[in-house]
Amino acid sequence: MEQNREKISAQGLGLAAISYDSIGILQAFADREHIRFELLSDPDSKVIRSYGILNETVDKNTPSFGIPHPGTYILNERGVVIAKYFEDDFRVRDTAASILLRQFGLAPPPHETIGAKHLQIGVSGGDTPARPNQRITLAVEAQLPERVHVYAPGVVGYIPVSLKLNPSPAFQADPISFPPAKTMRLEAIHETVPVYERQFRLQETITLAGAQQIEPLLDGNRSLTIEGELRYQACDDRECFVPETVPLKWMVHVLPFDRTRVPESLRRKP
Amino acid sequence: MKRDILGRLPDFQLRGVNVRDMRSLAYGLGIALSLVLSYGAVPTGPAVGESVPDFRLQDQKGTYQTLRSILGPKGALLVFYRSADW
Repeated sequence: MEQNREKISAQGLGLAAISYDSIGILQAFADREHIRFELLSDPDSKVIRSYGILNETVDKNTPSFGIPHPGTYILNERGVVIAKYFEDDFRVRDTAASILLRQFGLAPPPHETIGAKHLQIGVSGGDTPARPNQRITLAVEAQLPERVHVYAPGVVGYIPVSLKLNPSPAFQADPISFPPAKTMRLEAIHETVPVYERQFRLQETITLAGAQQIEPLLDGNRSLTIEGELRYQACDDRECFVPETVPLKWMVHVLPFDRTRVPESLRRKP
Repeated sequence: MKRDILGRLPDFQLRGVNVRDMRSLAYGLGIALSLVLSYGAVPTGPAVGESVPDFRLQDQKGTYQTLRSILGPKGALLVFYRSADW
């Protein structure tokens, strides 16, 4: 979150995070991690309860009682929910970068630009360090020259554009998110087909595996290599070209699972 | 007050209503079906389109913050998380 604080505030959005921790714990955490946005202390879980997200499955006699089901609300300027990101698995977290990309279409600058046949491809996402169990969003942005289109999913008789990640035990991939296609009428052959023109972006959100599973898959710099491919068939207004497959690559820096705690005296008591 | 896993109060704690009759009616209306379908899903609080409850909480510096004070000109990201310590 801290790494994306400026981007969030550039969107005119406030940012605050609520937990049941004492002010002392939040202070220690903010100092240690250089957090500059508001960490709010809800020690009796009053606000957590008022939102209806108290985790009732936690044993009341343990220090963990009082935690919420974790999630993020996107609010408008009047405090009305416009979207929310909650996960069924309590270990899984959305990263701020992933929410910014999915909610506001804010892709970081591409880390690689590929001049493929008939189109330019920008590969982005995954460039903010992430921790095990976090969700990150990878993106591929294609720029097409004038009069060139590629086929969108649902097309019959042509090869639609597709993004595939090589499967790995290091992550689980959501279905690809495709933008809405434009319908094009091909007068010469009396066909109506779904296409993408000029510019389009495909997004793939993945959930990183837990620490135990992901650690052996990292290289010496703690980088996880994610490979995949973009497949498409480009056409202009006269002809369709041979389908192309472009290899893609993301390097995600995976931080160790954070086990640092505040001194004993500050910790929450049952 | 002890609630069951769906957050319902035990029968005897609902005063002034015949709980059994209400249950039969609920079955008749198919409400039980929606209960079964939502069972197991994590509660996620206010729905899209609803206002979130206001609050007044201290931040890491001890300053009081409210919903109003954290909202930017376009809104806010409000994150609920487990703990900053474990």
